[in-house]
This record gives sequence, structure tokens and C-alpha cells, in this order.
Amino acid sequence: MNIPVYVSTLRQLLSQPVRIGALIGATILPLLQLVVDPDPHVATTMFATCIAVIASAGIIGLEITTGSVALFFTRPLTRAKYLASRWSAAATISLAMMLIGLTGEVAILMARHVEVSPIAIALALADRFFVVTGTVSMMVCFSTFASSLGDLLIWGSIQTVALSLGAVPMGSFHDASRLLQRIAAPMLDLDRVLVSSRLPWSEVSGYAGTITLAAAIAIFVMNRKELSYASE
Amino acid sequence: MIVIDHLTKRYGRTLALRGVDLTVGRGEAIGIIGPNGAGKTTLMAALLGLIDPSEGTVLIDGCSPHSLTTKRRTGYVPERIGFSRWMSGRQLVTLHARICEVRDRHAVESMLDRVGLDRAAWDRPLRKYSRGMLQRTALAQALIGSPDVLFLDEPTSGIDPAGAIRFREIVHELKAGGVTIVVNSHQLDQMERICDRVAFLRAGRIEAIECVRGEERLEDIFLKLEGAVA
Repeated sequence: MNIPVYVSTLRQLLSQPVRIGALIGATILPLLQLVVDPDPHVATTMFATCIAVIASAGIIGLEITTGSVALFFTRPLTRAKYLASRWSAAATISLAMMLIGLTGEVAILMARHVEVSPIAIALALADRFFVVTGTVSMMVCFSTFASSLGDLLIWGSIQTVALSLGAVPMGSFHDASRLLQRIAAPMLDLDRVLVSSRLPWSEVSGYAGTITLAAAIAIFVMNRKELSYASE
Repeated sequence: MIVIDHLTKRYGRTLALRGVDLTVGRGEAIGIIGPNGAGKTTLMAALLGLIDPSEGTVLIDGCSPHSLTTKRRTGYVPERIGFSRWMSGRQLVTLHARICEVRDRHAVESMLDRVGLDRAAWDRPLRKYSRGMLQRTALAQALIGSPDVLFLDEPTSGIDPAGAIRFREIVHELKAGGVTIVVNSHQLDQMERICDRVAFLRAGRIEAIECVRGEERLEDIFLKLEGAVA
């Protein structure tokens, strides 16, 4: 990772009012839901996925569209390091927002006299951590393929297809839907991991493999990318 | 310093560069001129390691333009200012100084002063800069790592006369310091004043290489070559 590029990306993301507004919305919405919910409980990972998608949308693609990435690549900076720095910045912001959201959720639950065990909080935190890092990795990968906000389109298309397949009452369609959802938002089923007496390697390797593959594809695509205005 | 050997670049069926051969010595300033679509920007991108040649090689002091060793020694002023416009001029130059591991704490300020960027504009976002101010900032970021080779793509477009004069002075200082300069520009009068030689590129091929210091004006040479190949 290159620290100056990481810090600069953090500043860049924090200077975008639309992105920040959307991030605040995705963080506050589950809190509002908790306030009015007659049976309040710690929310699902859905909003953590949304936060990760919003924070990382266009993380590479927008830089390719504006041409600023070409200037970076004339500098002593490998493309892999550039990717890692951009990934880290998007993940930092996503994790920070996720943490704020979770703290708010716990505060609201406590204010409503709902008992929340430390284990439940730790599980929710770990669950969301894996979802956020996984989703940011996939978005960075998609962003190397598509210019501007094309990664958002790819992510949305995968989710739409997954939801459509999931609606078909057949086992194979359901499996395909689950697979696609795991590609768009990789997650580690911690309940399964913790309940099993033996570590479910398929679950762990599935998650780690998806992220490793996404990183490898992103680096490969970026290294092959030609960045001349003349080629556009 | 720069050796281009039979450089060819294809985009599908289009040949952007056709066997370009060129050698540029240390401390020499060479201009690349030619009509639109001649392949000037593609040549610049190949020299910067932003694209891979289909055939042929580019070597900068014996190293590939892709190598980090080369990138540590080069600076680039792009034709289109694709900077992150949310940054200020000072932040942009500071970022590039940090990537280049420039240790001098005052290097950024002295560089912004050197290119003549108004001090009041240093901390303003780049989106509020005029074209000329962006060009000065681009030059400052290109020079921040004290490069041995400088690539300038339309460096003076949009710059006011005072800025153009300052730009020429900087180029002459760099040349005197042994910096090799490759300039791509349509402004023939500027090229005439800063370049030692010009390469006339047309349809991806170098048609002629002329010394600028002679009696003949560059505009006349350009028109003659245009006429000869038309």
C-alpha cells in the first residue's frame, strides 16, 4: 500500500457530498427502523453491504474516466499498490460507517431496554467486517473493468439476476442465486463456523478464495490496462 | 538517453505508430509535431509506459519505461488535465512529492513559486483554476521529483504570455542542467524557442527530423513537409 495515495483517497471520498450523504443515509436508516420496530434486534448485514457499495462505487473507474490514474502510473508506484491503497481507503470509510451504525444500534437497543449480549455484538461486528471487506474487494475488482460508475451497474446486475433466480422454486436455481449473491457480497457465515465442532473449511475457503480471486483479477486487469487518451 | 527502436502500436486494425525510430541525447529537447491523429499522444504514452508497444522497444537510459527506476527519473505534463479537481494545487504537488519520496519540506512551495502559480491560488481547489493555472500546477508536479527526463504534452496551451516566457526560462534551465525533454505541441513558435530538433510525425511514421537552430523557420519547415507528404 502507498500511504500518500491512501490518505489522498480518504480525503477524496470524504470530499464528495453525494457519497457522504448516501453513506449517512445507509447508516441512519437501520437506526430509524430500530426506533420504531416493535420487536427490535440487531439488524442484518444488508446495510453493511450498502455502505460498502456506496463507499467504493467508481473507486477506480471514475479515476480512469477523469484520466487522473494515468498521472499516477507515470510515478514510481506499482498498479497493485495503487489498487491496494484505493481498496484500503474505501474499506476504512466503510468500516468506520459500519462501526458508527452498530454503536448507534446498540445504543438504541439499550435505550429501549432490550438485552444485547456482548457475544451478539461481537458476532454482528465480525459478520459486518467480513461483509464490508468482501464487498469492497468485489467493487474494486468490478471497477477495474468498467469506467465511471460501471461497477455499480455490474454489482446491481448480479444482484438482480441473483434475486430473480432465487424467486424460482427449484433447488439448482436457488443454489445459483446464492452463489451470485456470494460473488456480489462475499460473506462468512459465522453462525455455521461457530456452531460446527470442526472448522467448515468450505465456508472459510469460499470466502477467502472469492476475495483472493477478485484481487488477482483486479491486479491482472489493471496491469493490462492501456492508459492513453489516444486509445479511448 | 531515449532510444526508440521500430516502435509500432496497433489498435485493432488501426496502426497508430508504424516503426518509429528515434534517439534523443541527454540534455536535448526534441519536439514532436504533426497533424491531428498523427500518433503524437500514442508515442508519448508509449514513452511513459502507459501503453505496451505492439512491436519494437523504448529504452530510457537502458531501462524500460515501465520500470520504477525509469518512473523515478521522469516527469510528465499531460495534455488533458485529469487531476482530481477536489484537491488544491498545493495538495496535488504535495501528493506527487510524497509518492516520489521528496525529502525537502519546502520543495512544494518553492516549486509552486518557480512555476509562477499565484500564492493566493495555492490552497484553492483545482476546479476553480483557469486552464493556465492548471498548466502551471501540472508543470510543478512534473518537476517535483527533479526528473532527468521530462515529457510535455501541449504544455503551454492556455498559459498567458508571462507564463509562456516563464515556462521557456524553466525549460532552458532544465536543459542546462542536463534534463532531456520531449515536447508534443502544435505551438510551433514555442517549439522553435525550446527545441533543438523536431520530429515530424504523420500517420504514425516519422517523416523527417530537422534541427531547429538553422536559418529556416519551423513553420516553413512544417509547411514544406506537409506539402511534400500530402
